[in-house]
Amino acid sequence: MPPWKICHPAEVCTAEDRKNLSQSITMAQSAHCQTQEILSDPTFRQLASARAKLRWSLSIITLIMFFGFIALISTAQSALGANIAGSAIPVGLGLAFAMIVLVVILTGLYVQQSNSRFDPLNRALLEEFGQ
Amino acid sequence: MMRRWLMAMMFTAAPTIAMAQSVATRDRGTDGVAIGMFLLIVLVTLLITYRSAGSTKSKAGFYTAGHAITPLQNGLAIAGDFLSAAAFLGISALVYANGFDGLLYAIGFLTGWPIVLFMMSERMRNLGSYTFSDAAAFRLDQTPIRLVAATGSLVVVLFYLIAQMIGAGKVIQLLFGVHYLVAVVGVGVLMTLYVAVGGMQATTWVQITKAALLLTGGTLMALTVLWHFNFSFEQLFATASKIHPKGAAILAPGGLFAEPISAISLGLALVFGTAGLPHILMRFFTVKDAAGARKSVFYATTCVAYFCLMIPLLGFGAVAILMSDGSYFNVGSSGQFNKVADLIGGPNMASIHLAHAMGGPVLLGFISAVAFATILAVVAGLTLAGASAISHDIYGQVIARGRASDLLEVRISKIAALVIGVVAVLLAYAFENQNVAFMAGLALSVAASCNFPVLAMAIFWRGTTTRGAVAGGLAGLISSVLLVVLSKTVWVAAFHFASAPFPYDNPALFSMPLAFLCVWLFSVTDRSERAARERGAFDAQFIRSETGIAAIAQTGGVAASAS
Repeated sequence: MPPWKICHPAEVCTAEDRKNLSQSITMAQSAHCQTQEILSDPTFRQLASARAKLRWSLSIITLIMFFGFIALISTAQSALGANIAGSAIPVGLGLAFAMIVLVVILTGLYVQQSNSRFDPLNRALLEEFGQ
Repeated sequence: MMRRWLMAMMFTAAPTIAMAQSVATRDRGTDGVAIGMFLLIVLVTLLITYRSAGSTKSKAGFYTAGHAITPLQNGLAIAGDFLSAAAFLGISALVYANGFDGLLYAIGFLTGWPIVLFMMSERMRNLGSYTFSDAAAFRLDQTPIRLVAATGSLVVVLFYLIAQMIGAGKVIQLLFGVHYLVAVVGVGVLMTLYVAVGGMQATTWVQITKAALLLTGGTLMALTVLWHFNFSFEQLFATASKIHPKGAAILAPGGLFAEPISAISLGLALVFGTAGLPHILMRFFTVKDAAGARKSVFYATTCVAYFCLMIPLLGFGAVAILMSDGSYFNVGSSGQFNKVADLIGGPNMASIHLAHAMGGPVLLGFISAVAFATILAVVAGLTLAGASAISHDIYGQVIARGRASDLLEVRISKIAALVIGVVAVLLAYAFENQNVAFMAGLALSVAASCNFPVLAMAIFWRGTTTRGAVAGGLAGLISSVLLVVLSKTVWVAAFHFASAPFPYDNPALFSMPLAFLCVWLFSVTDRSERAARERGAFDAQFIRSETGIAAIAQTGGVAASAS
């Protein structure tokens, strides 16, 4: 039987299972069981899903911002040339500078969240499963 | 080792002295600072290289400086690797010539970085060790994937390198008055020395030095410009729009991005190309772990963003200050001059002239030296990435099947660096008077259409198989190169045909989706035993990419070669 069919993803291999199995199966199969064990670990699930949510939402915000700006430029050129109310700085330039600052804020947000929320989870997983 | 190094030193010294002499004999008599700064940079970088020579004995030392670079150092080095002379002189020239539109390039360059951070940096570090192909080939068949990824890397590196070398030759020729060939050979010798003798350690510190110089120089210039206009942006923009031939139009979006398809295509190449540049992806392996990779991208993004805020100030400052002063232009016999095209040395010299106008010969010398350091750091990073693709991916993993000794692989890498250096110099010499504006754009398009789709699909999509990744990578590579050849910049400008079959300048909007489509199509139709095994190995790869835990590597299974 191919090693990836030994454990069903939903099944949890306990440490005891692995001990019993290790007598009769190959190393690859036992590694496969550890894979399933990590996949179903609540800490890992929490880490993977929370981080995916943050990653994808921040990426989508970044892309919408950038390509939205390009769309704005090709559709509303004259509006972007008008000055921001009460100053001599055009709207387009103001938006461009704001976007540069926003990019730094978004990356900073991701790094701050990773440092404070995800790194502790990752450390816990490494302690449990790492070598 | 020592003797070989000294001999190489002598080869470098020859063009260096030639450069210094010809600067000294120029009439302006103000270039003492430039020569001094220039020699200082050459000396400092050679010293760095000399001190790093000991670090290149092992593979990890040569390719990644032993994974021992700190996140802040790596962030600065990434910025140094990424901010080319094209970015420093080219974007300020675009702002000088077109105003607002130039700024859009800067924003495009910057927007790639959050994407690199959210999608790539941590996963790269968790999955790979030396090159980005490590991550792409993690659960797929080593030989075909490495070959495709290495080809993509080498195409990107060579085109980028030639574009940089030609730009470098021209800039050094203008700055120091030396012959073009001397300038190109000088740059080629220096970059090969950094990489072959000092490996990643030397390359990193050259890049850090450059980043510090560039950010300091840019800040100095921006401050003097703002000081000149009493720290009032409004006064700066008002003066610039009054004097520029295009008038107030330079403060608003103009023709450069009016056509949405070209604009989106360029935007895609800028944003996703960054996430597929081999010399940038390689830098994530120089830090200890994924957290280090993540932090270094934050530092790099901050540096690039700061640079993007500075560049328009320099561009608009150059408009406001230089355009009223005829001494910076080639003035015709009628006393008339074109305020953009007739700038001495072309619009690319706008920042350099601005330095002279704001701070006299001292600032001019400093900024010229900064431009020189900028060139060196970028070409060194590219050479190292190209050499690693040859030695680690093609030789180490494909030919020797992961069984090459460290010593041999590092030696091949050094030879590869030398070969790349020679090829780059020869091509830069051959193409001196050709229109190569498309080359840097092509490099980014190939990165976005070949490297990025293969890497992203291999990392994110369980269904990706070797057949799909190879088909997608080749489709992206071939279509992006072909479409660039059929576009106006090559078909009309270089081959002199009347009209171009492909109406847009940048192929990414078409070649990148084609690559993704091919990865998908050739993967879902792949019913082989190998494909089933590769899909099955996704779980282990997923765990490793998220956490760094190597569930399979310890058993000597699929991932053995990546750790």
